[in-house]
Amino acid sequence: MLFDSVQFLLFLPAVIALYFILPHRLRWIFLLVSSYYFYGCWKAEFLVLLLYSTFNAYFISLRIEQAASLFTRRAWLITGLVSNFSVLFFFKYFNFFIGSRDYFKTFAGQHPKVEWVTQVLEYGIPVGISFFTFQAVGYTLDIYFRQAKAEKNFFKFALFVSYFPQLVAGPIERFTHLHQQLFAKHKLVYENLSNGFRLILYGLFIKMVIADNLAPLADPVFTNPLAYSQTDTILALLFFSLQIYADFHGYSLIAIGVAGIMGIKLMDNFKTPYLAVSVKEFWARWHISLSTWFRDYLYVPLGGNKVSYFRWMVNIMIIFLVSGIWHGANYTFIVWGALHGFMYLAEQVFVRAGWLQTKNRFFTGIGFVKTFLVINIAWLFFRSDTLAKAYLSLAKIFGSEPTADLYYRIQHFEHGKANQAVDDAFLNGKLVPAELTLHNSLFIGLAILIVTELWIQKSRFDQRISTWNFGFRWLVYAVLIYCVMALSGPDFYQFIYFQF
Amino acid sequence: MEMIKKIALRILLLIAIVAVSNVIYRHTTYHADLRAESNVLLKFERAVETADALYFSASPNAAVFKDDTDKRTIAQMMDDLLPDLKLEAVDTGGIHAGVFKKLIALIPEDSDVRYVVVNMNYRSFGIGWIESVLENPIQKQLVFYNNRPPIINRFLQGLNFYDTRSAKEREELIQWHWKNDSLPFAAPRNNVTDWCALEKWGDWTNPKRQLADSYIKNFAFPITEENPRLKDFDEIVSICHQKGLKLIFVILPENLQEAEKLVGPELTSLMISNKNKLVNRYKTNEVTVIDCFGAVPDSCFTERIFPSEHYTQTGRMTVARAVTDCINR
Repeated sequence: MLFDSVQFLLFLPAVIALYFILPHRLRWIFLLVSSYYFYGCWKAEFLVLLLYSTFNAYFISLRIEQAASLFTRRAWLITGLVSNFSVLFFFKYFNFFIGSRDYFKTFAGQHPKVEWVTQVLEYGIPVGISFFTFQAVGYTLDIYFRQAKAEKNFFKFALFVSYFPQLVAGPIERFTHLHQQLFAKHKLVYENLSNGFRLILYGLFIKMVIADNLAPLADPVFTNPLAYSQTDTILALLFFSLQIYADFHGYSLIAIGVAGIMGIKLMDNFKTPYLAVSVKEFWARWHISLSTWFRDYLYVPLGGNKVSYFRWMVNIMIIFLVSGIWHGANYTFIVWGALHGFMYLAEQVFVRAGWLQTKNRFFTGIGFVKTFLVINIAWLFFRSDTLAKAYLSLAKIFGSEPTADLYYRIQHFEHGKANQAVDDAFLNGKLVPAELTLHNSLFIGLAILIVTELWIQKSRFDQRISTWNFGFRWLVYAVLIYCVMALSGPDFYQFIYFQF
Repeated sequence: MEMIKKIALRILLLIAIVAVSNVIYRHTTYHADLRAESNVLLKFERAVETADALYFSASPNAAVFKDDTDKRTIAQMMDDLLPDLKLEAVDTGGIHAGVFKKLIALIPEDSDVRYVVVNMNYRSFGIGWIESVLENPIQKQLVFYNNRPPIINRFLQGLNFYDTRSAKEREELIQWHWKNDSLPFAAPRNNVTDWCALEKWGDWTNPKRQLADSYIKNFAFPITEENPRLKDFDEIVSICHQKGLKLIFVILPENLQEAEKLVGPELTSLMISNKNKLVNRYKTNEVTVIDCFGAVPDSCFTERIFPSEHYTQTGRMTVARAVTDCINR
């Protein structure tokens, strides 16, 4: 079930009404059933994976807590991590590591078991598998590091893993933050209701009006960069940069708003990241729940910055490479992670040497421009289907003519899929030039987004607008409602982060 | 109580905002949206204001054959042959009875429209058309064809309140039906997949083999009571009945000669049997069914690499005359 669907707009009021009508002792059971229904609306068969991940974390964590020796604790932890990540690996990374799923198709008819594997893989990546796996694994690590006490009731734990507002695309919550809230007695408070609806409205606005209108502009350029001009390629990259932010931030705001109505506070996931003046700051403001997850469960256990200079640099690169791989099994994501890692280290080398301690506004401005450029170049790899296509876009952006030789060499290296339009252009000399057509209504939405971002800074939409008087507030709501109803993108674009 | 008052006031405000938004939308981007997403609704809205007869069609109404000297569409030919009647076409490529029924339901009570002429395209009953990749944009259009305030229809479109199955899912469904829908012949002609695998006209690189395949895939299917297109036509009958409109179904010509030459008499016999089922089904329901199924020879079909219902001027005139003769009677 998507947040921007009629189904959800009916589901949400029904769940909220019933949640507050039901006696407190039944509420969590109702939430659990609702959450499983919510997830089952995609493909009910994937509920098995959610259940597996939940049971795995539940069982292993109890064993870790009960273990008498460090060796046994470690053994259970490794068992838990391997068994939980193996499902993620199978569905998300298996194809990447075997080179190509088509390889297995060559066995079709000869080895029924191999055929079964290909059929399962053809089924696609279960929605939100990385999110709920990381949430469950985070819990197991909390128990191992004695940060929390294991939950004895399986069904209560199942609610923590599956709580529907943040199940499929986060924020990835910590057990210590979310679990108690789920079982606390919440009253229907008007403040929560109004703040929740503010966030839902603004979330729908940036998803439906910004992201869904930018997607059809960016997509064709990244599908065949050869057909578009340098200006169009640069515009498409900027559009994607805004699209992914609007798409993911929109989802997070709706999730926070929905939970907020029930009196449950989810962590913030974004704080105007494109206003960051360094890559380090960007990561403190972008997908915060994942950044902090990596910090707490990977970076700190690796030694963090309390190690040698060289080891610290290795730790940083590990974090960014893993973050890249978390997003998907593709060289493009690895390059995306590596670029962020290199830039982070480059900045920090200067900072550690004391060369970048200035608060000078000019240098802050330079920092903003530099960070924005770096992030956008990295997005180019993130958005491209293959490294070969990323090369085409990059060449276009920097005004050089891409060569067929290099394109095919990169494609061969990465086992990249062939692209009919690019092949036609390179091999048959058939290139149909295209250009982006921009509609005025798009700029209305973008203008509202940019002004709002500058106004919000590190705060949040609901917090800022609550200080305004009733008339102004409702004027803003009216504009947002009109945009959502009349100017949203009419085509179907799933939330980008669902695939992760 | 205080909270209920507050919420009630805000719900009223919300309704007022939606009402004002609807007015603004109608006067600003509504028509641009129709032009971009639902141009056939725009045609319908214009046609319904002036016409006595509406002609609902997909691409067969188009006149694009370069050798034609008469560039009129079927609808224009009919309009010229019916001097006492104003006939307007409501047409665009790829649409079908599922769209026509929604539009017919929108004909206002006080309109002058008396006749509704609907093309019955045999190919549109097949799974290849029902689950075509063109269906998503058509379903997206259909959201607008509801008798609701335009802003609500636009909002529902933004919420993707239509069938958004992916191309891959649709392709899987088509393949499943081709494999599992039983045809009334002995194996291997008992399903489309196996029938297509029969060696005829050489290997797959032979264009004739490819065309023969297309004929089997587009024309060999059973028409059961579950067929969604059949249900669409049933609904058209009942809507016209309720509105007191005279309904004419035109069974469009198919290239039977080419079908027999490429695939064989099994295919044409199945097509004719299916067509007869349609004629018998609707003739009993106070509908005029004009059967042009075999009325146009191979030479009058313009497409040579894919089966279609695109005709030369002679073919278009054959259909136009058949309909006008019927109306004149």
